[in-house]
Amino acid sequence: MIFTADFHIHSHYSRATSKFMDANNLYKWGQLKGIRIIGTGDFTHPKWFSELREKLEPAESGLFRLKKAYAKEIEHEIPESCRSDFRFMLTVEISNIYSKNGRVRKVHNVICAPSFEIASKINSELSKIGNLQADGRPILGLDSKRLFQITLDASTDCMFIPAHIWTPYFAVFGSKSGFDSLEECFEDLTPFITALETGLSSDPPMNRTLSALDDFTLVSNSDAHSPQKLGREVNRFDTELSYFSIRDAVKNGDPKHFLETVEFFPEEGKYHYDGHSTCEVRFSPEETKKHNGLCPKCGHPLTIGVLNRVASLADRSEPGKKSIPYRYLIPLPEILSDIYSKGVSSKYVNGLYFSMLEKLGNEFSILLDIPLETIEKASSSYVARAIQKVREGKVRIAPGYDGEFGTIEVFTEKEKSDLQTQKTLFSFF
Amino acid sequence: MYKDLNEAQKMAVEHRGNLLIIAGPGTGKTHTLTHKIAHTLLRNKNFHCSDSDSNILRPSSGTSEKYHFENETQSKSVFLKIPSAISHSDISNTRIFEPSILALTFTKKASDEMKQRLISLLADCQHTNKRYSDCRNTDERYAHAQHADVQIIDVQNTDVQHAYDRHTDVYNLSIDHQIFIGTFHSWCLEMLKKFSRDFVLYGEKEKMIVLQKIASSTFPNWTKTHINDVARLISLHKNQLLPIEKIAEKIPLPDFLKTTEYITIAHLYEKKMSAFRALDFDDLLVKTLELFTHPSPEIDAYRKNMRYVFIDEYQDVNTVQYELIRLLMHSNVAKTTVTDEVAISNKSFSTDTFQSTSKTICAIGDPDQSIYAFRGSNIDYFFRFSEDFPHATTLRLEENYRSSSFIIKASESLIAYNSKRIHRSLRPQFEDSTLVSVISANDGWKEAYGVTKKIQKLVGGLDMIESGHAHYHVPSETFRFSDIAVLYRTKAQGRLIEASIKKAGIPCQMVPESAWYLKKEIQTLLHYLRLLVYPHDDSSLSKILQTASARQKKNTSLFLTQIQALMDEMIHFTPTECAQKIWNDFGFESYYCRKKNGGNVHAKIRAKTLNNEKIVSDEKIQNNFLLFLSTSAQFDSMKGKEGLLKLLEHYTFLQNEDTFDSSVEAVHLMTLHASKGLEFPVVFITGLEDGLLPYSTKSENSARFSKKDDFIKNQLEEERRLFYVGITRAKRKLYLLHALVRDEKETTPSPFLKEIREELLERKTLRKPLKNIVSSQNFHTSKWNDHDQSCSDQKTKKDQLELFS
Ligand SMILES: [Zn+2]
Ligand SMILES: [Zn+2]
Repeated sequence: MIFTADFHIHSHYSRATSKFMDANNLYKWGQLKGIRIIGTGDFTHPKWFSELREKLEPAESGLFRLKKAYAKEIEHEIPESCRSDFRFMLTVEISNIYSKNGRVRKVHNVICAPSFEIASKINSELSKIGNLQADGRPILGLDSKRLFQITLDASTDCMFIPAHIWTPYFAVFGSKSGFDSLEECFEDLTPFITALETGLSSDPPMNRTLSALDDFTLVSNSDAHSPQKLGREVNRFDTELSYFSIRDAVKNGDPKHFLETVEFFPEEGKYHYDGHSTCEVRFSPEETKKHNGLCPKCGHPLTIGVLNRVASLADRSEPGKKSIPYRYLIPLPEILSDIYSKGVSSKYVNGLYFSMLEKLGNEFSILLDIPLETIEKASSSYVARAIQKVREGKVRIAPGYDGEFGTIEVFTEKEKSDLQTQKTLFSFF
Repeated sequence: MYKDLNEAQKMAVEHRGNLLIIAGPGTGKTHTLTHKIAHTLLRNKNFHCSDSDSNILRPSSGTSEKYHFENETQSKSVFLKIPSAISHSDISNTRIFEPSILALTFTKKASDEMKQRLISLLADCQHTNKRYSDCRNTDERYAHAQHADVQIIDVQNTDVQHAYDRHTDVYNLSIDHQIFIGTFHSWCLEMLKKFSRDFVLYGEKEKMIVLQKIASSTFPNWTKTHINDVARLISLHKNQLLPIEKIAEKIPLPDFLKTTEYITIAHLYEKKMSAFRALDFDDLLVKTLELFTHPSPEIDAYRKNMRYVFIDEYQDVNTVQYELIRLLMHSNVAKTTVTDEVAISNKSFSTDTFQSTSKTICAIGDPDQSIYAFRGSNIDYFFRFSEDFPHATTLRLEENYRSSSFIIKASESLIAYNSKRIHRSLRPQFEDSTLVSVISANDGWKEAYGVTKKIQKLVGGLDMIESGHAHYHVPSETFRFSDIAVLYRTKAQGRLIEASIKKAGIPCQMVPESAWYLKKEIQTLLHYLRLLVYPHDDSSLSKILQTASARQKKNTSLFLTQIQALMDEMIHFTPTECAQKIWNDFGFESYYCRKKNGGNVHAKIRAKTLNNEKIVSDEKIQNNFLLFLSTSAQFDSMKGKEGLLKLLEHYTFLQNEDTFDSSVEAVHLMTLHASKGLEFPVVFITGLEDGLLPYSTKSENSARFSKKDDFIKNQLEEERRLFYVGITRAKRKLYLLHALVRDEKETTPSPFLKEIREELLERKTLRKPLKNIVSSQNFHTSKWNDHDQSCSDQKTKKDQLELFS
């Protein structure tokens, strides 16, 4: 069975998250987006843990479904065309902030567990060490390797995935407080890492320039803090629907079962390029080198982006061969927002978005599978052209830097005016 | 070995004869003392061989043994032995060889550190050739001693230096001297076990039980606080060697207690204790002192054998400790003046056949850091050291290797206001022009919030919003959580700070801390669960009944029926379902959380500072229960008794574990008293307000500064020393905070703040109105933002983050 999965998200018990990140809304938005399995995130948080235990029931082995009574509450908000059999997987992200080899390290790690019992074992160990009640993504003064050991001790069935590995501030390879190698961080446990998460600012080809990562599968998750951002990046599988089949597919990295990862354009991520946001200085790694890593306007050290950081650790210029296929996508609301020059969360974009879902089905099927003619019929040729361009990767992006998102442009101004004169633009409504 | 010593330290190490070392904060006190002990050990090897025929080693199981702990539970003492010096036949001999060197400290931590350092120091001398040759150049005797017979046996046979760096305790150190390193209490325990009749040792808990029993019949109205006060007084009079009747002359009694009442209860306590043949911790010292005042031949031999006595933190000795040292040293020069009440037999001096000059004492300490007067410590003993011990020399260690120059200057300008001190001045070794920050906050909550925000900044931000922000990311260096300490005068202050820091998700360690599963509500819940499994467990039942509500108590039979009903049903329930049922059915909610609180906790906290603790603690109890469920669900695959047994086993095991995991990094929260002897790169001292620091109880008036009363003046100086101790904990950054309003009352800043030279300070106020603070605390619930968030929210966040920059 072919399905998509997003392992890394956060509930409303994490900081800076939408209050809609609860079980019901995950159920709803998972179906709107067309994601079959979403990680619960935050299972270390006692309140979230108890909410999950209350609302979920076991489905296929290691996966969970929303109980009927709760599903009913939200069912009517999901267009007929999008409804599907949605599943949860128990996951959490831990923020490890600690010192090793004389430096402060900040590393985020994602853990997936096949049962509440095993999740509870992990909770039990971590509750002795730190405070699990303050934040859905707990900050622990705990060495990443020990976290991994605790996870393995709870069950070797758990998945352990270093999160968004290139983010400058909070990742195993982060330029600010990470490591230069997985071994420095995880030592003898390194080979047992299930997979590495590329994060929004890097894509598989970049990662594959490091031969040190050849033995690891790359996964892509949304790290969403609000329902709309679910599935920004996802993984597509063709396996039996169960925790263990998914784990095996991830671990083995066999493209027969792990079909592809769907990626953000890495340029769109906040830390792709180098730069200094206050001075609006955006540099490619080469330009940064020219300026000795300093902002030419204020002399402040530039924040080194992912592209530069990857290059500094890479040992080959071309990506190695072995890899799971991948493709780039832009979320539908962002496409609509760009081509109509309206805000992503504007009423207008929202209206278009839902009308398309109703007519066509979930967002992923629109972006990936549905023939362009069908899309054109259900919306407009303008939208269909845009989706075509995104599918083909023909979009222009100003790279993100120093915490500023990259900006996308599906159509150039000229293309827009050409299309406008064809009067196809507003034929939609 | 001398390589690591400065001139003054070297002088102290090499000095022969009685010595008082005044070692200011950060001047290498322990370093110097351990070097001196090592030096003494090595220098005096041959001296001791002469009378070794009478000295036979304690039996040892062999060289692979680590330290020989006298008693597992009292592992404060260590004997370092020499297997090499004896043949195997000697090992069977059980005669005990008495130590000739005694090193006493005040805490187990200090003595453990001293042992650790001593062992590594000796290992250094022995094994690194380079250092070894240094030693020889410096002191021929060392070389000789080393060649002779100091040896360190490498148990694991790995590369010495390498392994030593990691774990010094894999070595069995053997030296042909015997040395006892331990706390006063552990030494006294050893002495009593050897030289006294059988006794039972009562800890603080048992002591309280005895007192509670007595009080329940004589003073039924007393609460636990009253009994605590009495326990403290009993300890105080013992440590000052005061007869019970004289207590009121020396120590002010609390308001609730009449002198006659105290005398009654103290006598009853002593009677009970001797009926049980029990000693409390203070008795260990008192009874050991009695051994010396009426010495047996064995005690005389013990004393005769003693050559060197080292005392750490000499400014903290109390009367009984002082007398112990004096009698051990056999000093017949000094006459007791401080404690003329104590009849110390002077006869024991006349039987002395030993020249007192053959004994040497070295005391080290810092009168400016004496902060335990409330426990009976008496700084006067420090000042009279040279009168007490003949030909004593005083040396000063003044080079400070800990703190940056401005911190040192600030501490010096403060302590100069004390009159009772021995003059010395610290010389900072780190020049740095970072000013000391003085921050005033609107109230206690905001002070706590300010500390929290500052910590987030010092570690370089905790999430993308903070760290990723160009404005935010100002600090050129980031610190670890464990580099940071927040200090305060009273434990109550600490709770507010803890709540704020924990709310922000920052790992913190409150000292002392009890783990969440040791909290009352969880313990009671476990008693219920235990009762379900073991219906005849009376102790669980009685614990449950203690916490039962009045209604339940009135109708015990109904209550028991309820429990019985649950027992019958429980076969159908998982362990967490049982727990949930008990929580709901037996009124935990109403018992532990009297005020249900809906809505915004922060708003409430702000509205009613006085009710802070209640609201915070209510939420904590609820949360602890949820935490209990989320960590106990692992046993839910089994229903009924089977699952519960597993769960109970799990918690029993947990409770016996050492909860403090030192490898986990966390911000340290502790009282100023508890910070003594520690150091941190970053230190916050909070609550710098008149009444808190200097601390005064309500009954004392605030006009302390003009008072001529000696008692009050002494107290003020003690409080100033406490502040001094706090300041000198800081290595790099020091933040001094005070709130303008605390517990709904306006405050004035601590007068001590004015005593620090103004040019060393940088004054700040937390400038935004309170409204914004609260909303920013809540921003994660009211607004939301993505990990990779859109930029629209960054502006507001920037403002919030800059609040405390
Ligand atoms: Zn993360
Ligand atoms: Zn700049």
